[in-house]
Amino acid sequence: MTATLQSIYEAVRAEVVGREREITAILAAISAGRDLLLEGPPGIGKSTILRAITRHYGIPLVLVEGNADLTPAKLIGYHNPAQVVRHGYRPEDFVPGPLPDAMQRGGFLYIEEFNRVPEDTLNALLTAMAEREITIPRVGTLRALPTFRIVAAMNPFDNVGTARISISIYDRLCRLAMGYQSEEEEREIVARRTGSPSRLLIERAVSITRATRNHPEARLGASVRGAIDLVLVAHRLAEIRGLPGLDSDERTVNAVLLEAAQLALSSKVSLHETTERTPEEVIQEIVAQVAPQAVTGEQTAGQ
Amino acid sequence: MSFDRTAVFRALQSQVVGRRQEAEEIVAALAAGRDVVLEGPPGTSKSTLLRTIAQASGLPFVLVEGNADLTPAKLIGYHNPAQVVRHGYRPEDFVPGPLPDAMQRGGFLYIEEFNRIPEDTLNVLLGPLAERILVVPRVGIVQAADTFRLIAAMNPFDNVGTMRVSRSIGDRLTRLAIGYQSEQEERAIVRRRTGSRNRWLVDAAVALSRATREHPEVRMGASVRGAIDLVLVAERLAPLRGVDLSKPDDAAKDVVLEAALLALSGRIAFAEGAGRTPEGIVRELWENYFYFIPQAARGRQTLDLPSAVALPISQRRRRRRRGPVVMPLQRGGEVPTYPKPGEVIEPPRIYRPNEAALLLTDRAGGPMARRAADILRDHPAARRVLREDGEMDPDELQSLLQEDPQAGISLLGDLWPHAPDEQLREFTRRLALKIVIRLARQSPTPIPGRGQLRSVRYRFNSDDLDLDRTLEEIAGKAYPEYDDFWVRERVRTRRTWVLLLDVSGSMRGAKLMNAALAVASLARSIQDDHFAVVLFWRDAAVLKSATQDEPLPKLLDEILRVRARGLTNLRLGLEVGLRELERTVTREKIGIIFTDGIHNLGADPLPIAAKYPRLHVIGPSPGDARVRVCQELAARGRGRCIFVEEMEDIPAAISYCVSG
Repeated sequence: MTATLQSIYEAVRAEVVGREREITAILAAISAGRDLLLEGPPGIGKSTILRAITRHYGIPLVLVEGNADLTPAKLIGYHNPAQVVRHGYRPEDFVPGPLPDAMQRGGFLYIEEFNRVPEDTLNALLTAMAEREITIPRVGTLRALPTFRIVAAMNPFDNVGTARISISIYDRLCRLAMGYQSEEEEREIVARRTGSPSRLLIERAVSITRATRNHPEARLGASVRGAIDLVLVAHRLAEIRGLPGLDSDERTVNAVLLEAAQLALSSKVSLHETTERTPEEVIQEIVAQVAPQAVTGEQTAGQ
Repeated sequence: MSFDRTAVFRALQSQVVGRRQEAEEIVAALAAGRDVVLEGPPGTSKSTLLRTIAQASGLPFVLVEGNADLTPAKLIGYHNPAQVVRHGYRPEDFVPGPLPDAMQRGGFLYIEEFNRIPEDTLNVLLGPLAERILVVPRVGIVQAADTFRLIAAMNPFDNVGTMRVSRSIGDRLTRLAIGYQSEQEERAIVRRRTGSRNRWLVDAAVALSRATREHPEVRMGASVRGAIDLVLVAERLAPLRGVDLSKPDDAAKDVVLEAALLALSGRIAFAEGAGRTPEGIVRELWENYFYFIPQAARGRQTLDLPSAVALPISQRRRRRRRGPVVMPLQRGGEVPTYPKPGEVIEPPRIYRPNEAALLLTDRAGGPMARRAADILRDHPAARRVLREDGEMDPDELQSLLQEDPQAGISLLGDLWPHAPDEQLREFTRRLALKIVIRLARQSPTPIPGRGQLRSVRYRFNSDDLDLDRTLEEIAGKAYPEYDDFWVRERVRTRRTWVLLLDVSGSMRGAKLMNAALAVASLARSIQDDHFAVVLFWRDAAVLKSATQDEPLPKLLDEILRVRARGLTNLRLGLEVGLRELERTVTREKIGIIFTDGIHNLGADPLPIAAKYPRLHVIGPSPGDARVRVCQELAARGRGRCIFVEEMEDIPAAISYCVSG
């Protein structure tokens, strides 16, 4: 087991930028047979790590998007009513939901936005977590394969909290709090994902994105996805405008920076409910701090 | 009872650690022909105990998982729809569900998570529990065999997803409360479950998880499951880190810390108002266990961490919050007499929502703006925040709020309505708004009623066929669509709420913050229901009508800008609220009133309270409130009555009312 664990660790590390501590922690919990709760803002590589792990184990990753519409029936499955009228409730007419599906195929059930799932639905997971089996009315008892795990992810900012998810659920989970990557790592991720040759643009994009997270009026800033979008949009903008030399010329970078930042980030930044400013204004302020010429240049070009 | 008790005790010995006394009690109750419910916190081997007893007894064993999805039909059984289509309802086509199955075969019906089952489903059990019979429509009477028993396990009422089991069910059960095992027993459990031979690791894991339960800032700590996870994770983590776990050196202890963070940090539920991270607490407990005095043992990693050992005693021993209080009903005697309310001479004015602006700028009734000197006299802490020239230091106010939230909020409450200048008023009000929104967000969201079982068209959710309606619908259709099928599903009826807030008399800013917090928590708790907000004093104002859509921050801001006013006409408030409810067409209408029970203007309010379909009452601290009056109002209004001592209690009080 140790040998395989070590080799999976090496393989996953090769695919993911940074995150050494988190990968070992996740692997240790998973291989110890525990279910896991990952807590952190969106876009910090939670699903990337899980995808890499499940691929190397050769088991499926069953993804469930948590929202208020996720009822226990949607998680567990249902009988096809047309078949029921024809044959009665036959186990073979049962359409398994993601939970029995992951249990029977021995995969990870990955539930995103865990704290948005109604409590009633979460409670359907209790026995699956503790006893590794579930009893479905009119179907019977299903046992999980040994590789079945539940991995939940949630964003602590919506953490309406500790109070919303019952202690019975928490008592069956290990928890790992994850933060944003370092600036270095985020640059590396953006470079990998965009293939952009412009170091300057990437640097600016990452600093602007990171600044949205510390802005006093932002409840939740943009993830590294914001920086990726920013770089991609900036390249296309420069191309359409016929501006050459994005990879080396600071003036070109500044010419498209503000526009690209507002396009890429304004939807990803959520401001406090009490603020009166628009996301665009906040982003403009941040861009002005990172690259003052980008904002003044934009204004003179517009006039 | 004819089960093999020696076999049961033998099995218990080999599969359950300790719990001998509890096991004997359970077996005694079962042998006496009683049904048993086991109540205890998560991870106290309730399930292991009951599963072992049931399986070793040699009797049939039927398992049911309790959750909100369990309908009466799933417990009782159903007619095979295919056969009904062919032959009509024949008793022989009935497929018994777990309940009649266990009854007929004389076995155990084992229900887990008993108090997560909706009440209408639980009521199915009334007959089988008391009379040992179950009446199934179109089938007849199912008689229980002698050995049929219900055994159930549940967690204590914890506000999320559990409900109080009704009296009529509780009355028919014997209940055994079980707590955590001893440290010795927990170690044995961990060794058994993990197979670990590593004594110091197991001891540390058990000690750490037990310590989370006793930490003063923790409302509920980790069960023995936490210790099991800690050991398992540590043993996987060590080889990845290249650490040898066989002896407790510093590297091994670091691995234990990391495993403890993974295994325990999620299992800590905070007492309200504790400003710590779960990581901080786990780290603190780890330091206490392994190093006792952190700084002396190791400088590098621990110096910058806030540790309980380093804090003064007063800050360490945070008193456990007890939350809102339900007072025992004070029966007997007259409603206490207080000065006869004055008569209304001038007809009261009732402000409509579009007149809100008038209400906010109309300062005739409000007290004069207070001078900075008065504020300084009333609040010792104000000296820190207000400078000589009346200017305020926002950073100081923030840090005061961090250190002593009570003093901070009370000062803040006094600052903004009476602040010497406009700018300060504006700033403090915005800060108050932020605090209100944050507190409301931390509040637990209750289940807004699970709704009634109703027949609806199939929508890929419930598969509980309503056979009668489906047959009607598909009769003669060669190719029925999904839409033609009818299923039984829980449908929540919409409700309308009115929140009545007393803004009279000596209402200060802090009380307006309470009012705003009440509105914010109600808005959060009731999801898509409508709600109206009514303020009352000598006059009354409808700040928001039930059908009006208004952004919550704007509404809260309006409440905070209201000026406090003179006498209290409780009856007027109740009348205006009732009228707001009457304007809506929803079937269920509920009022919640915030009052200290004082009524000093106008006629007797009690008859109006009785006209509410339901009226809940939230009073201030039971010490100085007219407890009796509040309770009487709630009794007339068929509602609940609860008292809040501190601001943080308000969301819980609201959710208590909403769930009742």
